[in-house]
Amino acid sequence: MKISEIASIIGAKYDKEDFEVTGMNTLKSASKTELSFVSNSKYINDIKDSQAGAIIVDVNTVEFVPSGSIALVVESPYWEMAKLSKYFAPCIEDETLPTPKIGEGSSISPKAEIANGATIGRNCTILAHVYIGANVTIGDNAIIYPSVTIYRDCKIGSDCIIHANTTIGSDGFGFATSKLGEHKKIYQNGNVVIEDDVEIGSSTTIDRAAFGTTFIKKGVRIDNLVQVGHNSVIGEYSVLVSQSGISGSTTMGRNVVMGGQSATAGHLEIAPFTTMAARSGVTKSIKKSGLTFAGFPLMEHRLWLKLQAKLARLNKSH
Amino acid sequence: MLLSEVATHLKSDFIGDDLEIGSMNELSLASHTQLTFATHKKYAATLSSSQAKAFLIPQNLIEYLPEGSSYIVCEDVSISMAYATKLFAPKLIDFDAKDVVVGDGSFVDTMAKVENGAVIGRDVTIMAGSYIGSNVVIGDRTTIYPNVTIYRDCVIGSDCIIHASTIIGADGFGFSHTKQGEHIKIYQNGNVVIEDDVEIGANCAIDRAVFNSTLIKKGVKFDNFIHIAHNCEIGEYSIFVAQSGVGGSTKLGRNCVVSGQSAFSDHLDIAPFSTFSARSGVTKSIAKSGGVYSGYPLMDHREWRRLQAKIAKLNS
Repeated sequence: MKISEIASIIGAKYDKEDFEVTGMNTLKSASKTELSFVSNSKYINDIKDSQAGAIIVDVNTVEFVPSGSIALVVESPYWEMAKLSKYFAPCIEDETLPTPKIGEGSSISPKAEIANGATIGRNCTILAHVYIGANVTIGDNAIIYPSVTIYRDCKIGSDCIIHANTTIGSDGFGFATSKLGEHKKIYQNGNVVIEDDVEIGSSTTIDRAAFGTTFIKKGVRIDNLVQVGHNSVIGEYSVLVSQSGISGSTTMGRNVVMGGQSATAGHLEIAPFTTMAARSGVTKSIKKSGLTFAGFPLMEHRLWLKLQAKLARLNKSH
Repeated sequence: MLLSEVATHLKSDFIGDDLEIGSMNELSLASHTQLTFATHKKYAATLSSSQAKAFLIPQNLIEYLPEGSSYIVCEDVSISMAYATKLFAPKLIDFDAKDVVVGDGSFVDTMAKVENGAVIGRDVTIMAGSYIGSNVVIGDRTTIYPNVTIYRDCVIGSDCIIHASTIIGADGFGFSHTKQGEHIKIYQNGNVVIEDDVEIGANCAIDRAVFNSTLIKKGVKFDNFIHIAHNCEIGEYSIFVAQSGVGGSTKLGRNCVVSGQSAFSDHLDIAPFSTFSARSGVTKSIAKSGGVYSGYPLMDHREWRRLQAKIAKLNS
């Protein structure tokens, strides 16, 4: 899409040399041919360092746009970004892509649906009612149980097991909200990458990234009914127990354990080897590794036990 | 499979007579044709009284074996046990099983998939997108809504209703952990048994047992998004409200009421007629029946109300 077209869609002035914009991305990751945006003044430092070809800004942030980038000035950059994301959304299925490649020894149920452009490794088993979207790649020896849906462009490693009805790569929960309270969809044009030796339970959802990738690293174990938000990173060998939830863009180190029904807020960093007891509610980043936490608000598990003892005493007093 | 073959797979030697092993089971329940295991000295007494003839054990438990036992000494029994479960895991689909049997008056949508060996009773309705695995048994007059998946070997009673996208019999969440922090899968070779007159909401997940059965007894009612872990037993006529969950091997007596977003730890015993209000977090067994509970940590409902009043006062 031409930069001049983009400018006219969002109602920004642009009268310099035209060029082709290949996609949208975050300030940090955008390349010379990509478009980025500033949603919040706390990202001013990211603007200065951005390599983006063009950046959507408002009047307050336009001064920070580096000389190598083009500034497109609008009233609400986040809203305009949402509007544009639709133009960069790939079609849901693409019949022009090559027919799926299936590796030797793999068995695919005739009642499964594999979209064009998909590549499936050797010795995989794909059961009935599974949907594998366009350009999905699956490694060797994977087992995909019935009714699993893998949306387009996602990547699944080797030796993975995905239980029934789990959905990988559905749209992340991302919307821009106007002053009138209306919500405009931010098309989620990223994907999900699942590394080798990952097992995922049934009816779990792992959302695709808005830009970039939602990452599930090697050896991770995910139980049933777990929610992983867009752009999260789950570290190697981490364990997510049933009904737990990870909000968008939260990054975990290796061997983190999330107990049943525990959850994190978005945009956090959790140190490796952290354990969250059941029902923990994590709202702040954890910097020190190897600790155990509990409760909401979150505290160290020992402290939580003490607090509960105090509450019990309080209840006995008159 | 012969014990000697198990030993070869585990790259260890076995001691005693070579035996034909049918399956694996936990120490207290294993029969003489099953392979079992003991991980710790606290199981010494159970080990000595076991009916099994074949064991995976650490060096320090050899002296507690029943007389005439065959055994494989393991450096880390839980890891060896996990590897051994793979040897007894059935195939995903049993193509050699008998053709599907469908009773009179039953309707199976052409967009559903029923694997060989399944037996479906009379006047059953199975809607589009559902998957019925090998050797599954479904009783009479049961309704299976779209996109339900029932894994192999599970048993569903008569007069049951299972709502859309619910998963019955997926693998329980069981792994042995290496010192390096990797997780080795314990293959879940048991099943799920659902008795008669059970209704299960949409998007529930009821996991199969590691050995033996996860049991949902007669007349139980589940709302949507309920998680039941492996080897649980849910007592007759119990009710679960949306988003509640039960950890592995926990047993509830009859007529328990579990309100929304409540949850139980694993290995608990809950007395019949217990009621849990919304968001209860149950971490200890309950011996006395008929109680009403709230909160996390869990307490008597009246006590919880008193505590909330005191906390409100603290804050004012």
